Amino acid sequence: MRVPETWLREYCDPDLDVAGVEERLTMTGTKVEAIHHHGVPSTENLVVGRVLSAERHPDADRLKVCTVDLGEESPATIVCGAPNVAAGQTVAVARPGARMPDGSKLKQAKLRGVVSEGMILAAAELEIGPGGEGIMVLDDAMLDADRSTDRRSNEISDRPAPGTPLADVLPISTEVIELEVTPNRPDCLGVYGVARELHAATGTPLAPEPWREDQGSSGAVTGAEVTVQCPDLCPRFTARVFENVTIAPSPPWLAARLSAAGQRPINNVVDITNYAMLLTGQPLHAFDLDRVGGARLTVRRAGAGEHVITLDGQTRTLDAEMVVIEDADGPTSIAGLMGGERSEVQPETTRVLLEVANWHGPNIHRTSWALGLRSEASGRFEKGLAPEQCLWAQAIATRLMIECCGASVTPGTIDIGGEGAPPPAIGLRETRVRAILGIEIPRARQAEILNALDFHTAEVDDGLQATPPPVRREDVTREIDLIEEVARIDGLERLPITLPARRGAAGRLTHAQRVRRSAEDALVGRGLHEIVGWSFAEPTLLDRLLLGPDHPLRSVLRIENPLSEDQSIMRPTLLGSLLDTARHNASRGGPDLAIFESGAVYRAAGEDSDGDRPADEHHELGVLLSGELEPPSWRGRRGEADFFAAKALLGSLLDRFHVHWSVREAAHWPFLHPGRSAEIVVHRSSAEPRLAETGMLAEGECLPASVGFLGEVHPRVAESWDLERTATFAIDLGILATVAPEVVSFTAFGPFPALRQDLAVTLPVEVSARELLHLVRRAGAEMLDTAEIFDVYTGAQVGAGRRSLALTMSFRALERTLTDEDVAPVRERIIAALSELGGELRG
Amino acid sequence: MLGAGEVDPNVYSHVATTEANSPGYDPERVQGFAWGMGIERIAMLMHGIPDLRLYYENDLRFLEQF
Repeated sequence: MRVPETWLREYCDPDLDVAGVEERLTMTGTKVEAIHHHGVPSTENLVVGRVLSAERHPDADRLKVCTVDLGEESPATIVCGAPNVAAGQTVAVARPGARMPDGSKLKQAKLRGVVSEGMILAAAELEIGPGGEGIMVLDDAMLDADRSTDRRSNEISDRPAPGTPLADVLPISTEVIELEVTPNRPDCLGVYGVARELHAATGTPLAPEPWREDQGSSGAVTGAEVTVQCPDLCPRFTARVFENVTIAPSPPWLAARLSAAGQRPINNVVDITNYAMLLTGQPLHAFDLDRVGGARLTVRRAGAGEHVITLDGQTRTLDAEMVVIEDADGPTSIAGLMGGERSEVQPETTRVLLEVANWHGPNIHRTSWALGLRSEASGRFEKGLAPEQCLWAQAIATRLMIECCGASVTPGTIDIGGEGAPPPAIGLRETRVRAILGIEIPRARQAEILNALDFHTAEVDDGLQATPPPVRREDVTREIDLIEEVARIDGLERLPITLPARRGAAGRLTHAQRVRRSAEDALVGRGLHEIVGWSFAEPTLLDRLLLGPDHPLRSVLRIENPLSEDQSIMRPTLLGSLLDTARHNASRGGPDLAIFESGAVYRAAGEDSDGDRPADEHHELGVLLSGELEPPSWRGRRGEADFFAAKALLGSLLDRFHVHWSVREAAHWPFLHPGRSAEIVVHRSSAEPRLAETGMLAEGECLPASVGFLGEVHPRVAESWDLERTATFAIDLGILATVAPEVVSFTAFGPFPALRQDLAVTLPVEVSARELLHLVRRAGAEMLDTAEIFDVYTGAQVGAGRRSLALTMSFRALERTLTDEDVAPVRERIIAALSELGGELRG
Repeated sequence: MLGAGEVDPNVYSHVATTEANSPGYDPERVQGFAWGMGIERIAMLMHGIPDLRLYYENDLRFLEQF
């Protein structure tokens, strides 16, 4: 809502500058978004002039040389190019030095040899009207409505005197206050409603409602007829008939106000409907009565599939919950949204039917949404206006139709539905005000505030009884709402500042949160950058990740009412945003990057092998490495982002949490390279952790849990994101947190040195390192401390289908130094176990 | 920047308590405050970041600065 400051001050004029007004409105809950300037930057050197003569320029057919009385001893000579300039006119004149709305400064100019001491202005040059032919002529009807009324009643001189500052007769310069009006306050979508807020917020007197005096009358109307068939959707419909209407441009004061408020002036009738709307908050619609078939309007629900051509020339298809207004020739308007082309006001219109109606807010909202059509009117109706506002707007419009269009109003007002039910009185207990606000606000002050906001109050034993005005009946229905009114106007900024007692209120992170933060910090410490992606994803992501039709990641949560198709599912994996980010950066900063994301991923409820599964949201950590791991240097390359680089990073991360983990081959993830991917497994153990590691526990005691995947991105997937070699892993941080010990327990180590032995064995290539080590540890039992593979060899010497692995093992006992003899039986057990796998000891 | 206020009493009647068939908290006895801030906006002020969208583009030239 854009409120021109000069217009606002007509009803409430506090002794504050515009910044002060802004501060009071914002502090009391009507947020000021911005302050704009409209019109000329300075009102100096802009005056009223009277054209004394206008002669053809001796050297130019299109120019006239005028002598203009500017209230000084001798008239000024002004050259004017407008076709309509004539002797006797009262006009607006800019003298040299005047600043125009674009900031430029007017200078004395010589036009075809004649010096011009200024410029006679057109409305557009002052930003107070449309660009049109010719200069603006200021006769009395064109000046400020109130002033002209006064003058006429006193029957004194009808024109401002030459030399009068132009700003005294026309609003040529104003600040415009742009307000963000909350949906519960449609009354503040009118200038007078804002003035009332300002009145309450500052204590400055408020002018009487401008609709208080109505030149129209109530009672039956002849010459037009209205029927409302759906009173549930149209609580009130009012209409008046005007005759002898002359369509013309609006007077400058009216055009200027509309322009400043952001409405384009069109013609006097349309401008009057807009003006009355901006003042009262209530939209109006003018019909050309001679173009209303049968001079009869019917308000009814539309038929499904019915068509209406709206004012913007578009054909709209309606459904049975939308409301149309029709005449004898069929539908003309969509109620509350937009008028129809057929009965629009035309330049030759002489009879106007002025409709001011109240519509059911939620229904207008629905229609507007369904048709994808929003208008100034629908934006107001959908918030729910009060039926009482209809006659306010009729009163304002009636006065202006008479003054600005030369119209006469036909007696009577069509009024179907009438006023709304009177709002009930609400109790406001003094004790409750104190309990909620924590301070004492005297009862008299409470009443003063509520009265300023147009509430009626009466005193009762325990406080007040307050009745909201009709425009607030939807908004203020409870005691707490009254307390809010009292608090915001008295000043929330005046409430004392206290701190709550903090006994026992210490907060701290949970274990899972600490694991999450620690993991993120670890990756940042390794030089990765954290990214943040959207939880909403595109359904085609699933195809691009090559997920088969039955893949578990396909069971995604769909959003019921998505903003767009490409944000219509909840992401089942972080890989989408990681790949998107990689592509974004590859195209800007080069292909090498190391990033991670820590965020929620989602799966729909459904069935799986374990039965019913609820919808799932868990916190995942995803890492993506692409390109070279380090920039090239004289020390050589560190290598590419491959499986091993990702695994090393994963290891450094998981080891930080003291979890026992391993990777195993798996083909669950079609977006990973088939030969370079693995499942990440962590081991839950209720027993002593080292035993779990040595494999001494039975399977049931050492529960492996899958926490994620590790691998290189499938080349086809990488290609669809324009990436080269890319490695990734993702782990479920929720599971990790359950496995990671909160407190690490000490494991004793003896003072005796370890005995180290190496072993070279050939094995079929199918045997994995994991299997081998598992077996070795199981056979080595307690005496085996560590076992690692340190070399791999394949070639002719070991034969086809086999490879040679070199193991280094250390043996240790808590109570003594081990000898080769001590270890020999253990070594034999290990060798025996290896031969079960097809292993042969190498010489 | 930061919305803050007293909790609407209607909210309390929707708060389930441990008792069976509980009508919720009694707003005549319970009141409270709620407030919250967008961390993006705080960070914008603190670091002089001109546009909220920068947070979601994940451009390394942005991420590297923090």
